[in-house]
Amino acid sequence: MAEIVPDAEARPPDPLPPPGLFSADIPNLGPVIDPPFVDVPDFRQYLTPADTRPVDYESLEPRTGDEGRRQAVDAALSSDRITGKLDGKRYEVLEVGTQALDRQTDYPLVIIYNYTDNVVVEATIDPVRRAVHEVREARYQPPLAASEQSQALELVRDDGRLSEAGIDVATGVGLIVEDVNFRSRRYEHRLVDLRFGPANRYLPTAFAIVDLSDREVVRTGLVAQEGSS
Amino acid sequence: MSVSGRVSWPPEAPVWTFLWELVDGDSEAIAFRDVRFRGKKVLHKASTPMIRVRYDSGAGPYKDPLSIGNMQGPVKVYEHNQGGFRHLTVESYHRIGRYHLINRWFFRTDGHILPQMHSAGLQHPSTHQHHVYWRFDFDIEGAANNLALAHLHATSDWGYGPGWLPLRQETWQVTASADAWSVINKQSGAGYVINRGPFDRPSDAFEPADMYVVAYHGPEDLKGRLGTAHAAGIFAHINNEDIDGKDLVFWYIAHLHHHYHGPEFEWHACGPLLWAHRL
Repeated sequence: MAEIVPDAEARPPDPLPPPGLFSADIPNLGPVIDPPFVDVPDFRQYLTPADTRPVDYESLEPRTGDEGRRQAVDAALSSDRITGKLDGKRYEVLEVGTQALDRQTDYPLVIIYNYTDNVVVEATIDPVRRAVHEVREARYQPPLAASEQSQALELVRDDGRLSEAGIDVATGVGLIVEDVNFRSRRYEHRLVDLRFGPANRYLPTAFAIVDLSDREVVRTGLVAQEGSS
Repeated sequence: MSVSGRVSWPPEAPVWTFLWELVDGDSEAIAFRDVRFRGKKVLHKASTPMIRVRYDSGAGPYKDPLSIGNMQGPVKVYEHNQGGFRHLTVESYHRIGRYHLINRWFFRTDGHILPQMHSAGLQHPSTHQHHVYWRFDFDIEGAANNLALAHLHATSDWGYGPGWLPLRQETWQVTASADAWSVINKQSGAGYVINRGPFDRPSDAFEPADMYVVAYHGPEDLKGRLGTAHAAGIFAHINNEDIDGKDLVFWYIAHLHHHYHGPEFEWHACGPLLWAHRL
């Protein structure tokens, strides 16, 4: 380690305290599980009710409202810089988020997924000019959009295997997973890991992996219900 | 639809003032902006942009996005009293896949900040580890002249108290080398001491770091778009940049281990303890 010279010029008025000086009771307000699990014990009755009261606050208008989001999508999809990347591709606008330019400035960010090439096209929109400020292509997997979850569930429904096993496909909830094996045909594909089962049960009852890039169900299965009451 | 509010609390004599927001399309849970304690700015922004989960069974891994799209019900803002302390509490409840997550922040009247992530539920019946990432964009009495320090297992005094080593360049650490950190204003010495939470387990190969400290750059604030399920990606922001007396961002990572024994009641918590110092 290089020699470290004491910071004589900027020495603070008081030394910092040792880390063990303070201790705190971590407030325990009890679990929030809605709907509650019906197949595992619930110990909430042993907790002392928390002493809470609502705090008033000033509600603020969002910096980019629904209209601003729509304008951002329109600006992105009407720009040659974007359409040139999406011509002939199967794509979907997943989200409109924000991108920080500096400490005070956020621009709307239109996030588009190109399923044909498995690439994300991001367009930063100048909200004053209503024009594309910057375009970026990146290979990463954004969070699963609600419309994508619906597509994945529809593919599982069409597949039929889970329905035939008595699984209610409508209970499916998903998360994105990635195949990082570059030799795999699913490498960099848009893969969804769906779990099925009543929301008030601790364990899911079934699963399905769906490839939204190839629009097919990769595999399905039941989840062992070990020890569940 | 994005939601946002401005809080001054307690109403009779405010010590905490800030703006909170959840923005459509971003996945960093509640973002707290322009956080001031007793009128002094302490944070430009604080948020929770990433949770990564690794299962021993090989399922996943997953990156859980805390967004307005999976938030259940409204953001709750309330006062909580415990142990003689009053807390301003702000929380959001999310359901992601099969997980139930409470993102809860306590702001105590003495300046203590306690961000907590609570979780229940399983995506897969197997032992797994949650890695929760908090991003603190400190502005202790302003963006300039901030300094990060690590408390080493040593008695040497580098000018900030025994064991406190100034971190002059972007870096990352584990608790094997440092058991606490601090971010202060160099001139006043005011700031925060950051202790690991009592439930936060050791790091592992999936996420080797307990903290990262980097220089602030606007485009690096990716609001949940940084990293993947397989890698947090914060290393990409570390290039030995000088952070001594600069505007800096401190990442804290809690490692929450859930040992699966079969269906059982479980409600996990993790998160750091931020102690106000000379504020």
